[in-house]
Amino acid sequence: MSTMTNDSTCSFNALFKANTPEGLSTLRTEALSAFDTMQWPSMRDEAWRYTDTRPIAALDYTGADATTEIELEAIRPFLLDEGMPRLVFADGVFQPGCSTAGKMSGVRIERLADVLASEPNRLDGKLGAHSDWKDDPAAAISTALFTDGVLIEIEEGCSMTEPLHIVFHNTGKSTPTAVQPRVLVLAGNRSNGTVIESHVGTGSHEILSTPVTEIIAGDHVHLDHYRMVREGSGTWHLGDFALHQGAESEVSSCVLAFDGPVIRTRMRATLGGDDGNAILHGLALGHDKRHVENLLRVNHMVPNCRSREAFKHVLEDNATAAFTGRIYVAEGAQKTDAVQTNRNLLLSPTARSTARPQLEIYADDVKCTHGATTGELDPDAMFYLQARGVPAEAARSMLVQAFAGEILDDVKPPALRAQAIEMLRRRLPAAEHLAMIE
Amino acid sequence: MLQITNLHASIDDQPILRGIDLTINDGEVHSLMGPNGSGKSTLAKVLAGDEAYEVTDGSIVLNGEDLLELDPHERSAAGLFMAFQYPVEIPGVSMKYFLRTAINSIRKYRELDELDAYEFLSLVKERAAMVELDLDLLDRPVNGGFSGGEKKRAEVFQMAMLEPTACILDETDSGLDIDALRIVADGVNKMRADNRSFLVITHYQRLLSYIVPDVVHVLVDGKIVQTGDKTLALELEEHGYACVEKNNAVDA
Repeated sequence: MSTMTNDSTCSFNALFKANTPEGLSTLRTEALSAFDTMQWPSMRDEAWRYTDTRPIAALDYTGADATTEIELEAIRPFLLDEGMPRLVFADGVFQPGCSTAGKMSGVRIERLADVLASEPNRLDGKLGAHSDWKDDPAAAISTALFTDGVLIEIEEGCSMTEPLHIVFHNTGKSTPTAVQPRVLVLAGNRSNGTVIESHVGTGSHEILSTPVTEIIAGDHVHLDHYRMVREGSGTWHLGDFALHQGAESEVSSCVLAFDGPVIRTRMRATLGGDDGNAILHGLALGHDKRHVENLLRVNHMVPNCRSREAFKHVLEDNATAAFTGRIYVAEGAQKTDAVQTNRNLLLSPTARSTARPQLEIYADDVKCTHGATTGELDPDAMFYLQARGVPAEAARSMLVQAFAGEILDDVKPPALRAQAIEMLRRRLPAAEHLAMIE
Repeated sequence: MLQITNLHASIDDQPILRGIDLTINDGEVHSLMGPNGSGKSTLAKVLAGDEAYEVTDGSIVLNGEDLLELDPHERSAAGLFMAFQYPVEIPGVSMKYFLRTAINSIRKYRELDELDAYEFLSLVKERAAMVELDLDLLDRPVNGGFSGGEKKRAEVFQMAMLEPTACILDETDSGLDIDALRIVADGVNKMRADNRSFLVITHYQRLLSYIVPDVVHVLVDGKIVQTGDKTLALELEEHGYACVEKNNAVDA
């Protein structure tokens, strides 16, 4: 891996010392040394070919101010249903005043800081076990520096009665700030639930957010995970998501990359039990000079599993998007059924997209397909809509909405879907001409 | 009244329409017939405002408004409707959502109040019945996976919804079996009104047994070469276009 010199190591080392960890020292020390070895890669590095890390490598980060406290008003525009149980963090600091998640029967929701302080070894082999931080500097630095986060344990056979909303708000009070939102979900056999993360902020403060979410799902689990990204205009969002699932489980994760100058998300799903089903979706809206990158890897380790990846990017102005999707089928993982699609809609001649599908297959009786398309709006559809009285701008918006709709239709929590549609409509001109989506 | 005067249009510098004069008075149904490649569909698209075609001369006036000055959506709001020969499939946009946006865009343009959900649905039910359109189709994407007959019925249904004053039917009969043809024609006949004019473009006489035209025009090589009453269509059916083309050649 090619490296470049930068200031990050010194500031990260200082942060590491400042956040004296209890219990997790081995994991954190290893992760820090992994980062030291990797550094921020240059664009010659295959995995970072499309994201230029020089702007963040040059910054000297401070940690979060442990006394940070925010009012609910600051995050109100980002909330979903008022009544939906939520946990709120501001610059990585838990906000009891804004949080409402209490007890749900059969579900234990704890702060990672508490768990690691009281039972340092309880999460051994779970926390940091699936995120592949050894391969990725953002995940490594996140694992080295995080001090708090959320642990959700759903007991065997239990259901979360409503979705849990976790809000990570970046205030930008002291900048440049580095924050490491962290979520670990342990879903027992035959459990089900929904977890929604919102990564939000306003303003143009320089922030580096490196969220890591790990989900370990047992057999027969049904779980939906969403990550809504609405960062401020100075926040680099380099996210990691890792999923390991058991037999006959169905787990979905959807990244809605709506706001932020750079949103890079690495997603790994490992199907470790027969008849598992992994569903990974993503929708990104890019304008100005924004950059979106999705790097996926689905590991089919056992037979009879199914995976579905669908990622869509809508790009305007000089926005860029990159998609890399690897489907790995281990020896013996027969009857694997994997489908991957990446579709890019370019709304300006200067927007750019790249797709890199990669298949690595060591079994002979499998069905793996991938498809990537890049295109503009269909001129025939545009004319048809206009000929029926729809003005050109509204017709264009209608077609963009239709393009995004294929992902949004699968966003199950109504409040989240409504927020996503509202975000999309804000980006669309002449939305007042469009009838409301039912 | 739709008035087309000396209309010339070309695509990629290739002239297709070479001076069309055609006036359809309110309440009249005209039929435009002609061999393949004569420019029938081009005329329909030029009327609707397809930017692929360049109008090099002439004028199109609908109820006193110069259509050539208007964008496609404004022409629709001005009262023009073109039923497509090949209706476009639009994945992800439901028929109902599309129509509600269309109808309210037009009403906004005409400075009328928008239809609310109840008014819209009542209108949908009434007009769908006119063309025996299955209401379930309206929850599907625009023309998505519709059969040929369903597509054409949906076009006439949209026409009934938007209540235009000038209706252009571009080969609406193509690809229809006899039952679908009768249903589509019935729908059109129900819409005939004193303040509405029709231009029915077709290759075959068959449709004209159901939608009986007041005037029949024959288009050859971008020009109207013959105009007559409904019996002209029958003559063409019997003798083919060759005879008109020959007459035209002699005239020229």
